[in-house]
Parts: sequence; structure tokens; C-alpha cells
Amino acid sequence: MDHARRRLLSLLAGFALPTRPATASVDQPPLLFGTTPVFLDEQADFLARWRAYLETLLRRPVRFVQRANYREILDLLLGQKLDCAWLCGYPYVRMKAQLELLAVPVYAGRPLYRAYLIVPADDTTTRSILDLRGRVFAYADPDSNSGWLVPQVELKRAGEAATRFFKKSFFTWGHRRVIEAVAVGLAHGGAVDGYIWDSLARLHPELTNATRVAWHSPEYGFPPIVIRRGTPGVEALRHTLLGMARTPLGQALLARLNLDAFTIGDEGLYSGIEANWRYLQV
Amino acid sequence: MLDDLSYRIKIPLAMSLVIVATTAVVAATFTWQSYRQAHASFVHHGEALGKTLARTLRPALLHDDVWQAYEILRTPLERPVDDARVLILLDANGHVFAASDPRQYAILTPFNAGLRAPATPANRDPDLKSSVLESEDGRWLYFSTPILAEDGTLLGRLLQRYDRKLVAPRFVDVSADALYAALAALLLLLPLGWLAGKHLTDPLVQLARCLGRVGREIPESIQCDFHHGRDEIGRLAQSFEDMVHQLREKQALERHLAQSDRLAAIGRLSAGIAHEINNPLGGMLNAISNYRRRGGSDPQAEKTLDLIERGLLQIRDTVSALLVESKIESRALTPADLEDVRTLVAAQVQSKRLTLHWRSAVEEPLPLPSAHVRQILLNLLLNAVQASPEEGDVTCSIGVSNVLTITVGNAGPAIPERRRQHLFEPYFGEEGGEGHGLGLWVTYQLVEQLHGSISVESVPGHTRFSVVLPLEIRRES
Repeated sequence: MDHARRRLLSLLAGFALPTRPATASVDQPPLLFGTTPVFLDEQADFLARWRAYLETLLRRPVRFVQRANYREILDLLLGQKLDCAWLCGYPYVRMKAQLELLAVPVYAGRPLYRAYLIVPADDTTTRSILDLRGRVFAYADPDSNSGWLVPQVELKRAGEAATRFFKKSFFTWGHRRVIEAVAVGLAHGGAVDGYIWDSLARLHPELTNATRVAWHSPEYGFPPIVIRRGTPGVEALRHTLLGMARTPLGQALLARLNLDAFTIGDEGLYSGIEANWRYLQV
Repeated sequence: MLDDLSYRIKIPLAMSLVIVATTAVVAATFTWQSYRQAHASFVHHGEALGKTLARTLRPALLHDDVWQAYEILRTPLERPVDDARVLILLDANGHVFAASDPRQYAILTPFNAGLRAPATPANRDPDLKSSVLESEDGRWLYFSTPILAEDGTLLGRLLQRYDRKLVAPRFVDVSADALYAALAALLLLLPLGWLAGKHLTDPLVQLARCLGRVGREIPESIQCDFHHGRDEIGRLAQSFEDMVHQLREKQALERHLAQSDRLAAIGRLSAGIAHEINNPLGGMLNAISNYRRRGGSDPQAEKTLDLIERGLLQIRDTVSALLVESKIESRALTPADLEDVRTLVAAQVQSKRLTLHWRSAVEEPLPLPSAHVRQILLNLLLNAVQASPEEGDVTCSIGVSNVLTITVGNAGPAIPERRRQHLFEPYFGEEGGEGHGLGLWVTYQLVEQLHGSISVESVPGHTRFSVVLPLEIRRES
């Protein structure tokens, strides 16, 4: 009994070691990292591991900050309440004057993703958002490219007024919940981040199987991790993020995210989103 | 057919039926009560949930947040889609805002299930109050809870739709419990009831059985052991015993009267015969006497006359014994008379090596004719000696109070029943016993003349004759 307990303790200590970095770092202010549902940010276990990983390498505390929607995170970041945030490309292009890219995730070998139009699995006819006239539609977030901007642009291109095209539309404030809303039939269609849908298809196929991808958009720049322009001392964080793909622990964490790596992104990645935004404003 | 059934079956059966009926009624009442309670708690639970949800749903309605409303509606449900429990949020126009089962209740479709209020009285303003409704076909139960803005404006309405079958499992459980309890109670009560019924009817059955014996059997042999209570059966049993007792007495009296009558008839008959015989007999004896007085007879004739005379004398002895003539003597009975009798039987007592236990309380002369009493005592003692086995005991006890009591006992075999019925009648022993069998007849006649009574008890090894003679002789006119 005692022996077993000691073994268990030593095991825990081995795990705990990275979570409690050198004492000197405790004095430093924590790194405040805002997250949004551009990735599966409700997995507390994964966040704890990632946080431990970052704290070990950065030698300073890290706090993940989550809010109900993209807008709050964006406001916190712009209001200097956050050091960095994992946002969607849409708010980034809108606030490009104040924000700069810290790192861009690499998904399926490229820093790109698509928006999906999903419908319930029993709807076998819908091929485009235009087939959903007069139906109920679920958006992810008004600050989401894939979950709002892309369908808006699609409708506008078709000459439809988004406000009247659907009988009813609502926000679920998360991509995963768009999938749920469509799966249970609450909405007849939904706009969702293709990366999230694909990742969930691996983790919870029973959920995604109740939906069908009716249409997917061209590729857009993957939701980036951004900072305010001119934030000092971010190199360590960027270096750590970019280095994740080179450490076994970092690879394991990336695998949990269903990502390949983080890379230095280029503003040009987001020109497609910016073009959409501009088109919608005309 | 029920009338022919024995009470031994009828009463336990009736008790069992009452027990079964009572148990059934209790179980049914219990089940009904439990069902009502289950239903009431179901309604209470539904209304409480409705109130809680209505509060949390208000912001969702105000902010037009379909997803939030859906998540709230889904929270209390165990399964995402459950046809038995569906929560529906209607907007102010009565259209579906969100539902826990969106496929069945699509957003913005008008809700028209055709509800009616089942038992509750019509509300004056049903829109602003919680109410319990049911669908037209009665399958669904709806709890309707209004969702009001702060100023009381109706924002929407929460409907909880429940399958009535949700209450059924509780009902089935409760019914099963009641059934098991009832069966257990029956298992315990039925044997008890049957036993109690049997206990009640047993005396009645026994009484009936005893009653059935009356008339078929002689009253002496009817022996029934009843319980002696003050209840109806106890009183009935008491009456029955009294009746049997009276029957017995009546029968004994009849027998006694018959015996007395018979004895009196025999007495008259024998007296008549004796007189009829005595007259010619006296003549014949006188003729022989006269013939002898004249003398001159030859020896052969003399021998014949002797033979005839002895025969005639024997006839006279027998007849006189039969007659029991009342030769009332004036001399009173003295203790010496009794001692004389004792001396007379002493020789026979010794010859059979018997022991005579003698006890006499007579110490002074008594107003009784000594010859009669001597004859009675002698007869009884001689009978006792004769009946007693060799070396047996013979007891004789003579007591005096206002009557003279003579009790003579022996240890011989019991007197046979057949013989006892004619014990005091003239008896001519066909079994070749001693004497002419007139001893008890004579004794009976003597006792009758003295207005006394004679009785006998006889069991194997003990036979006792008792004679009671009143000391004041009532002279009959």
C-alpha cells in the first residue's frame, strides 16, 4: 500500500514538474492568453497541459482567458487586458491597424481552412445556402469568418438580403454548437469552421454524422494567434509556439488540436477574408 | 344449496370472504390514494420545474437567443430527444421559439395542439397563470407556465409536455406493492379467519350432532361435553343438557313405575293364586289328617299318604312364601333382633370363609315390626353370602336417623343387565341355584309394606343393596 502510494506520488511529481517552474518566475506577471471557439477551447484537460507546457518553457505563469463570444476577447485584447489571443481572421483583418500576427496554425500541411455549410444528415438535397430560403439558420458568431462572414457574402453574391432570406437565424456562439443545433434539427442549416467540423468528426463522429457538409468555401487563412502591435517581449512566446512541433510534448499537444504546427504567418493569408469583408461593406 | 351447507363450512367461508373483500377494498383504496399522490407530486414537480425554467428563459426570449433557450430547455431532460418529455417555448404570438425536440416542434411554427383544461376550473386569465392542460386525445399532459416581463407583459409561454404513461410506471409499482401486501395479509389472515370460524362453529356442530342422537339413542348414553358460556350456544347447550337430564329422569321414572306396576300386578296375581291354591290345599291336608285320626290304614297306604302330605306341605311353603302375608307384630325391633340375624348367617359365612363387616347403629328398640326387618336383613345377607366369592368380604351397615338404613354389600360379580330389570320379581332359578328365587321378591314386598324403598347398585366386584325404612309408619286407611 505504502509502496504503491509512493510510486503514485513520484509519478504525479513527474507530471507536476513542468507545471511548477523555477521559483524565480513566479514573481513575473502571468501571460494572459485569450481563446475563442476557433479551436476546441472547452477541453479543460488539454488547456491545463498546454498551459503547463507553456509555463515550463516561458518560465512564467500563463492564464487562458475565455469569454462568451469573440467580441469580448477582442475588446479585452484591444483594451490591453490580454497579452495575446487566438482569434478568427475576420476580426484580425478588421483591426489590422492595431493587431499583428504572432503565429498561424498549420492545418493539414497549410495555414489554411475552409468554411462549411452543414445541414441535417436527413437533408440530402441541399447543395448551397441558396437552397435554404425561408428556413432556420444557425451562425456561430458575428465575428467569425466561417460562421458568419462567408454565408453573408454568399447570399449577397446571389443578390439575397441576409436579413430576410431566412425565416429565422440565430447565433450559437460557438462552432461546435452550430453543429449540435443542426444535428438536433433546431436549425435547418449552419455555417461552421471546417477545421472544427473535421476535428469533431474524429472525436465525436456521432455528432457530426447527424449533419452533412452541403457546401464548402474556398480556403481562407487559418484563425491566427494575434497580439497588439508593438507589444514587447513576445518573442519568447512566438518561439515557444513555433517550437512546439519540434518537441515530443509539443507534438502531442498539437495532435490533440489536430494541427501540424504553428508557423510565422503572413498578412497576405487573410486577403480573402479582407476581400469578403470589403465586399460586404460596399 | 347454500342452506344445505354445514355451518362448519359456511361460517369460515363467510369469514374468508369478508377477509378477502376487506383486503381487496383496502388494497384498492391504498392504490387509488397512492396514484392520486403520485399524480399530485407529478403535477407539483412539473409546475415547480416550469417556474424555475420560466425565470431562466426570460433573458433568452428578451434577447431573441434561440440557442440559449434551447440549451435551457434541454437541461432538465435526461436524453436529448425524449418523446415522453418535451419542453416547448412559445413566443408571445404562440409560435414555437425553441423546443427540446426541434424536429417535432420546428422554430416559428404555430403551436396548435388543441389543448383543453382537464379538471381545473377555467381560469379567468389563463394566459397569465400556470395551468395544467391535456391534449384532446388525453395522451399528453401539458404544464403551461407563462413567461412575463418585469411589468407583467406576456413574453412567451413554457409548455412541458409529458406522456401520461410517465405516471403509469409509478401506478404499476404502487399497485404491485399493494397486491403483494394484500397477498401477504391474506396468507396470514385467511388461516386465522378459517380457524376462528371453525372455533365458533365447533360447539354448534357438536350440539347439532348430540341433538341428532336424541330419539335414536337412549338418553343415558347421550354424553356431550359442552363449553359452558353465557353466549347463545352455551345457553342452548345448557338447555339441551337440561332436556336430556329430564328425559333421563322421565325414562327412569317410567321404568320405575313400570317395574312397580309389574311387581304390584305380580303381587296381586300371586296372592290370588296363593289363596286359590291354599283353600283346596287346606282341604287336602285336613282330609289326610282326618283319615289318619280314624286310623286303620295299611302301611302301604300310610306310605303313600306321607308322600302326598310332604308334597302338599312343600306346595304350602312355596305358596306362603309367595304370598308374603303381612303378619304385623306388635313387638318393636330391638338390637337383639339384629344380632340374632347376624348369628343366623354366621354358619354360612364361615363355610365360605368370608369376612363379615358388621356395623349397627341400633342401640334401642325402634318402632318397626321386628319380624319384617329380621326377614329383610336375613334375605339380603343370605343373598350377599351366596353372591360373594370364596374368602370375600361382605359388609352390613345399619344406620338410624329418622329412617332406618340397611346397606348390604358383597364383592361378587355384577348382576347381569337382563336379570336386573326383573330383579325384584319372583324368580325360579333356571340356572339351578340355591333357593326358590323368591328372596328378593319377598324382601321387596316387605319393604313395600313398610312404605320403604329398596335400590341396588351393581358393578363388577361390588354389589350393594340399600333399604330405607321410615320410622314413622303412616297407617293407611
